[in-house]
Amino acid sequence: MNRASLRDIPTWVWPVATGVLVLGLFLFVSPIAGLVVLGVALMAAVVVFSGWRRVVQIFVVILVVTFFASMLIRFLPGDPTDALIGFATPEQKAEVRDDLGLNDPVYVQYGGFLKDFFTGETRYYQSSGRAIGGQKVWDRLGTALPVSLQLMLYAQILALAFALPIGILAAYRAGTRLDKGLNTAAFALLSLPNFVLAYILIYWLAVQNDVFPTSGYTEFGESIGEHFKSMVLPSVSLAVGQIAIYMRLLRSDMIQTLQEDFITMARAKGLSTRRILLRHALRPSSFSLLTVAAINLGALIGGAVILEVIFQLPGIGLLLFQAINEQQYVALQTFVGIIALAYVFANVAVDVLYSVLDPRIRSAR
Amino acid sequence: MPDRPETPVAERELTADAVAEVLPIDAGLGIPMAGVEADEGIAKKKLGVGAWVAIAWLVLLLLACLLAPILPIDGYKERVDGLSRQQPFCNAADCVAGHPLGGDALGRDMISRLVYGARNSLFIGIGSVSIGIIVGGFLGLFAGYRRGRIDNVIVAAMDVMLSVPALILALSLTIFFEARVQEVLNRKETAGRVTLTLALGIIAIPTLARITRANTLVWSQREFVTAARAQGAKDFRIMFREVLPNVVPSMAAIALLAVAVVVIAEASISILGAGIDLPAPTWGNIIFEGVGDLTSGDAPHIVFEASAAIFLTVLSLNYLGDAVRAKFDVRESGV
Amino acid sequence: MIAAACGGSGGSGGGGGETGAQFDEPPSDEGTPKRGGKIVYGLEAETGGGWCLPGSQLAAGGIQVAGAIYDTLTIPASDGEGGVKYVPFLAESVEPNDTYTEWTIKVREGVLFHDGTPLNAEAVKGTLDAFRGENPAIGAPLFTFVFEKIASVDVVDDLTVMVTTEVPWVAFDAFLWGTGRVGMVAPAQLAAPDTCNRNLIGTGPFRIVGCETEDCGWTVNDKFVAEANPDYWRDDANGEQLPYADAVEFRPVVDVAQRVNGLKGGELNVIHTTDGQQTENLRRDAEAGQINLFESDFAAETSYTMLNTSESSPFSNQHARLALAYAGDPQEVIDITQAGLPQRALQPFAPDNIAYNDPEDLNFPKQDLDKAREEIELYKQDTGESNLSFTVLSTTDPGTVKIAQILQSQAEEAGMSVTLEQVEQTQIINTALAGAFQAVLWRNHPGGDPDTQYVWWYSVVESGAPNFVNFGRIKDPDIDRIFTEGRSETDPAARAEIYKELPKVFAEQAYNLWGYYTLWAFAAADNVRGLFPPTLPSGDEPVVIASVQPVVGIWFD
Repeated sequence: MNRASLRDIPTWVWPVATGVLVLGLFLFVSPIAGLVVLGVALMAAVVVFSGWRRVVQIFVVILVVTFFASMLIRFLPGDPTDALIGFATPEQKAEVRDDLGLNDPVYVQYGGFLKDFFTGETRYYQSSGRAIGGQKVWDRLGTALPVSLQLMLYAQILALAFALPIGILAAYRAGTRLDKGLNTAAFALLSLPNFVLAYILIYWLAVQNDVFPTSGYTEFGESIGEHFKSMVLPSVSLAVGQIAIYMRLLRSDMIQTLQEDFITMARAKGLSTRRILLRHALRPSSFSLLTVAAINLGALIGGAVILEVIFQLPGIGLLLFQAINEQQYVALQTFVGIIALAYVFANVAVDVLYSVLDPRIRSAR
Repeated sequence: MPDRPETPVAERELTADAVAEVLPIDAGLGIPMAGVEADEGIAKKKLGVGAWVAIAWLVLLLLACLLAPILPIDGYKERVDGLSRQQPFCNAADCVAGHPLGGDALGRDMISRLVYGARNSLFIGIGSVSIGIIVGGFLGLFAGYRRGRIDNVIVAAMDVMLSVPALILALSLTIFFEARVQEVLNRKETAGRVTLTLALGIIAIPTLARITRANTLVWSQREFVTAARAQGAKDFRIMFREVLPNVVPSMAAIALLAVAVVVIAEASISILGAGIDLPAPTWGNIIFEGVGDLTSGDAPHIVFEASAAIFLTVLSLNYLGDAVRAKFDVRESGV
Repeated sequence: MIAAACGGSGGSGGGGGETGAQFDEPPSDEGTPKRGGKIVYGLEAETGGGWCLPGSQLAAGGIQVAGAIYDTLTIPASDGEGGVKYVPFLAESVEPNDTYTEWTIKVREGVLFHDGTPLNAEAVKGTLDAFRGENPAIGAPLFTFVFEKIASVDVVDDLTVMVTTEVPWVAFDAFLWGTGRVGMVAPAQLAAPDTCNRNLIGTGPFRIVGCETEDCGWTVNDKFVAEANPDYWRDDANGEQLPYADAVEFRPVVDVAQRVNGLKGGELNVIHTTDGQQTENLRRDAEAGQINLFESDFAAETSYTMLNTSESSPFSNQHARLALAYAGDPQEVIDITQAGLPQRALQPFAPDNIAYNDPEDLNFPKQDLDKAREEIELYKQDTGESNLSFTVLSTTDPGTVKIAQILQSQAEEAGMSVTLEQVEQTQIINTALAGAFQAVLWRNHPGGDPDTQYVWWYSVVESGAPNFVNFGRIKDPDIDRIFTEGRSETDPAARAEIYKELPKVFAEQAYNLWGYYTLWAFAAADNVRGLFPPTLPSGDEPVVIASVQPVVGIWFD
């Protein structure tokens, strides 16, 4: 009788178990615990699929990025506490400087920042009074993150929903006038900045014709209709540039795929066009789509920041913007760190997903 | 567990590079860079009509920028009586004549605001891309040619820089550096421009380094390089005399695309209020000033005109960049 | 009130023939108030620092929220002659002794804080001490100066507190209102400094809910929610308990056009704004019967250019100040950026104030480019400088930046050399505190009693150290004398004469270049009533000073 080993557990158990654990921690213990476990799980997956070397690489990136975030405050000339707590007494300012590790060597400050960062202790500072009593940055993030995630999610869904059919159509009708027209349109949309589109939509649909609100956010729980109404213009503004990218990528991929032998064979077998396009031609393109989605994530984040400010959506972008305006440098450093880490992990997750999807890996089992 | 091969990630990187060649995207600025028509891959010998139109616009823009002080337009600070918020192409009796694009809220001529805005926006755009090309280009050339440990270090460093979404990085650099730059330069007016140029230059470096490296990798394997090495030529000499001239044309294409990206990035930063100080205009801060008049419906043309300027310029740069790429890019011609 | 000039400021009061009504007259009968409904109030800004009242620097948005959660001991009321008097509000009586050095405050019996604890003398002393800076855990950087001349606050009995002042303080009751900032705070809130800025416990008509999460109904940048206080102590004139509405939700909407659109679209049912262009918009809608609109520049703040008179600044020289005064034309600013609505101000006090001078009698410099050039020459001779050059600081708010650019072009036309710098709001306040500016766009000095402006212009603090909230570092013996004498002068007529000198000093010295009076517009959906606050418990008619518009009386038809 063979000894049971980890290898015998079906693959799907791992992600499900992790998901349950993370969700449980997130909801019942603390969001940070949940996120940490998620991070660890991702790293474990990376070890499994890509080896230890990659994990070391990722850790190096995390270290450098958080180090950079923590050092930003040192770039400011003069005393940052003058900006953070301008009204405080010199003793209080000295205390805060000490807390922030500004008098210590760089690595000590970095260590302190990491500790505060991962325990959720980084704070806003009240410029009007005492150094203590500032709200924790993570508390505000709790309500802000869902808003940003919603915006990015809706934008991606919209983008894919439009790009897929248009891209397939263009590929199928490659070389025709329709195709050239679509390409030109896509090219133009690529060159259109998202904020320009946002202002056009605001003027046309909100100012001139009262179809959507010019700004503001309604929670999903409050009113589903109002929620989507408040998210339409921002999501569309963010999605349009993405539509162009996905559509062009899909088109060029599919054109190549359609020329391959197995397609000719399928056609010879008499399969319907629709079946060919959707089932056989689309699948190989999923890799490039995935890759582009990952590369695109950074663009999504950048776009979300500026659109949140334009449309006053209370997400992390708006928090970032306000931290800038209120000179909350510590909070600013925290946001930079958080966004960067999220981006790194999202890319790692895509890596892992990629490996999972890669048929060569699956067939090797 | 069976040994997982390294290939998935490496494969993805190659695919990523390949995809990036088809559709290079400047991650994190919220701006996609234009890509090339994959099925028009064979290098065209001639630039099409579109490219010439793009060139014409860009040349017009550059001329306007360079000649601005001697052009028959108002100064960018000059306020004209009665021009406040005047609509473009206004024909009514109470309209001030001679201002076809209308006026902004303070009564300044939109044409002069846009032209001087172009000067600043393009200064920042070209300046930062130059920094990116010189520094990033050198790093990429070095990494791609020398390979080995230097390559690994440089690639790792570039990867780290690319790990922070670019707009966030640019914003934080601008915010945190501005005061220091002002100290060093001792002049308030130029500090803003210099800080922005530096910040955007820094974020341009990793992408440009990567692309240079990719191109260098290909060219370094060619026979004439092997031959030169066999003849005992020094590395630097080979890099600069044999490899660089071949890499430059594709760099030119990327440079154009990069300027487009930076123009949009500068506008984004200005809209967030972190741009250069008014009254010095950039297309971005013209939009920033004009948003109130858009949402109130009083004078939407201010935002729209600056937006159109950005759009046309970016479109032209993208188109031209694409066309130059199609002509020169090594990968596309299947080397 | 510290507030760097925000984009948008006042206009002329009502009386221009539109439907808006002045806030110093109650509106005609609106009918019997009905109960129910939720007020959704669009504010001009979020209050990032929260509401730990003794330590906070609340701007207009913050004061609105504070007014819903807290009550002040006194409140301004109409004195029947177009001016202001202060009457007891949360207090049952506020009585000075003959020499105005002892103020006895008796609070109403049976008033409870939102957490059920009683409002008593201990609570009042705790709050006042915190405002004086006597609470080691809660800082009160601004109010420590304001209340500097209080010698002690003592508990007399369970409901009575006596405040002893170092000098005769005739208008002390005005300071117990403090533009709505000196609300009475429950001991429990002050005892937890870490959460003081968001775990709010007052005696006001609305109370916060949902304290299971740390934020207690306040989602920053999104909304601040409070429900009606079922045990509120105040009734209206007919004996009906206030408030009428079930709940209030404050939403910060920074962009004014979006705020107005929010009102029209129904997301908001009350908004406030100082933006002249939008106020014009709102007037049209009010005339069409779509909304209710009240405008007020009663006891208004002034928008102005503040000059730094310390040695390091060119404006230490009077000729430089006069040069800029003669070069500037605030009317152009008003016309371009405020649709011409606000009234030009030649002094920091609005017409209702006892210190108000007839503009005919004031010689505040009006635009005269020749005189400006003369003054520049005199400046150059005095100092040996080749040029009058300086930097004008402003926030990054686009409206304010427009004003700065107009000022720059006016000054440059006279031959000065002007640089503009835009910085964030908090940085402006810190820069002002440090006195590290040359000229800055500012808005301050709401009306009421002129004694309340003491802290901004008096040259030193008690210990003799410089007064750092005197941002312009004004060291004028005349001004110091006016404030010292005015604070303690018991004869009202003589007191008015003393304060009337103040605008004259400013006109001569041009320490601050007055621009215009802020016009506040309060707009509401057409079914909203009670924008004008209800009759006070003392029987007096209330007044609305500057931006402070109580929400307690709002009801829905």
